[in-house]
Amino acid sequence: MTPADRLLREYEHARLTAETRRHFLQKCSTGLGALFFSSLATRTSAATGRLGFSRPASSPLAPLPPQFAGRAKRVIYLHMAGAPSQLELFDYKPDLVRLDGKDCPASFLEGKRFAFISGVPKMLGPQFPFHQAGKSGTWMSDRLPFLERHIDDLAVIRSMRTDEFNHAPAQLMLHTGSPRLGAPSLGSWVTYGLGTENQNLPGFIVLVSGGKTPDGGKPLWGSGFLPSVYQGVQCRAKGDPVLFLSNPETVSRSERRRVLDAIGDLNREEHAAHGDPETLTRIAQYELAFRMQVSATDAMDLSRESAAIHARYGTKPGTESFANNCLLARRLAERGVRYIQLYHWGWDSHGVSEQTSLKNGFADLCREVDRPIAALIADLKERGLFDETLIVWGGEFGRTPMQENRNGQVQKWAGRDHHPGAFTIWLAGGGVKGGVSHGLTDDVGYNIVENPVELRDLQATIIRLLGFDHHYLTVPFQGLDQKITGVKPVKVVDDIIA
Amino acid sequence: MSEAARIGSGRREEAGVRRTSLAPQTEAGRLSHVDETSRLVFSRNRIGARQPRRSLARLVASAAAILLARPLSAAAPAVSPAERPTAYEQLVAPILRARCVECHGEAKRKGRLALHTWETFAKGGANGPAFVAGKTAESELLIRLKLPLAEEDHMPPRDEPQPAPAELALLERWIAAGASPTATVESLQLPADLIAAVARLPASRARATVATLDLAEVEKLRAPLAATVAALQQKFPGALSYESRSSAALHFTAAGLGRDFGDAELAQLLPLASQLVRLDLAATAITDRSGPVLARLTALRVLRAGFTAISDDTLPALAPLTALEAFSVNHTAVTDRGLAALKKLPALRELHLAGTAVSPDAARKSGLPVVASAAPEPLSPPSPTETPAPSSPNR
Repeated sequence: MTPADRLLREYEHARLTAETRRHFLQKCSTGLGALFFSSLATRTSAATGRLGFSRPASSPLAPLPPQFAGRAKRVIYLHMAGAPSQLELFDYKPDLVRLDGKDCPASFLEGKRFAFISGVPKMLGPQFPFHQAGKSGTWMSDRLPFLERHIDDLAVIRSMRTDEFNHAPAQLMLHTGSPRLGAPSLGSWVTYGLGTENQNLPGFIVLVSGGKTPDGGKPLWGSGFLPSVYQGVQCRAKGDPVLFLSNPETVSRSERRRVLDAIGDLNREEHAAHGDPETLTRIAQYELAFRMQVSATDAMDLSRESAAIHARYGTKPGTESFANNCLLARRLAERGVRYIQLYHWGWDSHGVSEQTSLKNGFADLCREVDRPIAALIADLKERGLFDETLIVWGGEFGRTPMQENRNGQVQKWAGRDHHPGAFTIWLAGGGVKGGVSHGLTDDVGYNIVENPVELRDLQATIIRLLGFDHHYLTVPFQGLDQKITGVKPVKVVDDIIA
Repeated sequence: MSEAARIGSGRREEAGVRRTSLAPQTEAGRLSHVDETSRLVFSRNRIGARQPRRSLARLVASAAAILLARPLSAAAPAVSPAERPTAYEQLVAPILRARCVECHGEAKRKGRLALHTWETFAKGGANGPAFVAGKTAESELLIRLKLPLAEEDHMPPRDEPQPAPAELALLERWIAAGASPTATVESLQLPADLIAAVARLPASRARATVATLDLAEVEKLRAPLAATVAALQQKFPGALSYESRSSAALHFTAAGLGRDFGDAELAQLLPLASQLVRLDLAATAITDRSGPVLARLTALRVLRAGFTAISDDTLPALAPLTALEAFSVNHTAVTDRGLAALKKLPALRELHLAGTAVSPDAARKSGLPVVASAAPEPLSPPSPTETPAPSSPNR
């Protein structure tokens, strides 16, 4: 079979799969088909009523006004993949100092499952000194001295909890609302809801550092059941920011333009025939890629920044680092990108090696992220962008107040196991009340005793700050108006909203 | 039962029960307040438009007319003396409805106190009158509201939504001014910043905003400029959008246009002048030639012009921008000399001058709300502070 034959067969196959029951019914102008259509018309008008959210499929990325004037126009989400220990950063537990090295009380272990802890582990005291910082007197350890200068801009939530204790499902749950694959990520929802201000760049950009893609993988920025135009676009810190973006050597930009025009015509015919929104996505993405050949290179080029800026962030152009990604995040925010997602891997401090010990690897990571985050906040403030950019920092779950004892063995290094029951995140910027601490854990930081915040509460709060009521940011799918927060009760964290 | 629940006090559990049993009323109470709050915000955006029928919106327009004499209110039709809003109806009652009547209202009269009507409010409860006219320090309502959150007597109970500082300030003003049911809003002489603060009351009541959204009304407000807006949206993809679904106010951002956007392009936005509240021109090609255009965009609340060729010469032209709250000219040629012109902007509360030649001294002396430029991060981390003896962690 020649390549042309294969292509033809592939096309035939695609055409046949695209032919759905809907098309069959569409062709029946009477009977069942007519019935189907009248019902479809009713549903559409209900969905586009004053409450429902709807977006014209023909302009998937055009900016749409939020339901009410939002406080934040964009999000920079700094995900510390692997889950940093709240007990070494923000959740100060003096009692844990006293209990250090003692056997864990049986009541903590009853009915609990851990990723690695077995038998009776020992309690582990905080590995670093804590103090009260800023005018707000927020408790924090000495590991984030640069961030400390901005502590009064942060709203610290110490009472986050999740259902998942393994990285991939926990990350999925945080970013998509479901521990299973297939739901759209928060960035996709936000881009779907608000569109994007810069039509030459994707609305949702993902930057990864730390030497590893987070365990949840690309579904963390997937679009799930939303059209794929809303999925996050991963940009690389080295080489071409997006793979295969530049033209092959022998193809000029004008040639490429002509090719895209021809393909666009074919795709529009295809869409007229089948009405598949993915065809529109394809057209939009080809066009976006064409514009990005110029704009992405400019946005991602850190060498255009001054030496003073590089000194402030600790950036080195041409490498892959969290610092570079923070500076990129600022460049993208300036250019109107809606949702900028950073992942920095390495926080999984089990204490099975020097690299995963709290005293060593963890401390190194703190140093690695501290200055760039502080620089990012300062930079946004200077540019008048801080008030309209929401920054979120945190991991996918917390860590145990017990020292991990993998296989029942006392380990040489101090580390902590996964703990879904309590962890800390912070928010800052657009619409966030600074200097606030929300929620309280018990004396050892194991359970939440005040103001528990579920992931869906956090998601709803982020959406609220962007100008949406999460109840009304929906898309019809599988017979339901789907929303990221699902069907369980949700409480927006009003305490942290300025 | 979770540990969290076990640790919860009796009072809290009682509060939980109360909340559940009164849920529908809570909603209704909040809805009405939200409705008005949202309309208030909404009304700020509908510059030159017909006055809305509802309360708080009119308050802001009329109070603003008197206190600020801004073009915003000048364009609004005059309110006849007979229908001048009373401060109680427009201001005080909505706050009480939102924050208090769930427990102190028609259905529940905790402490035999009911705040849902003027008569019951004036009568007070088991602990005496709710307020003493003209005496804020003796008014139980204010005393309870201002108690530390941890105090048992603090109202509303600490796990309930708390009033915003602006709401407190308004109640205080009203009582200080004599707590009269007939006093007009104007007679309170509310300062401009308080009005602005009320207008910015938490967006946390979005749900009702959406639920009460009158899209036909919004459509009407947008109609006069709709065609222009649509044409400009075509011309500048992604740049122009309404502030919200409930608003005719417009935002324009040149973030995606960069240096392709210059003086000629900016001039095309002039027809939007009455509705354009936010304009982001950072890193565009605009120059001082745009001064006269900017001068006519009098509805602007936010103007970003950093990284442009704007200089001191443009700043005096901005005097008509009386609604301007935030202005960035970071990384431009602006100097100390230009600052004087900005003192004339009455609403300015945020000025970004990072990366300009403006000296910290001149910035301080100007009295302008200059956002401090962060000192560059030092190369070595600051030394960790000493660990004080732990008092009460996490509070």
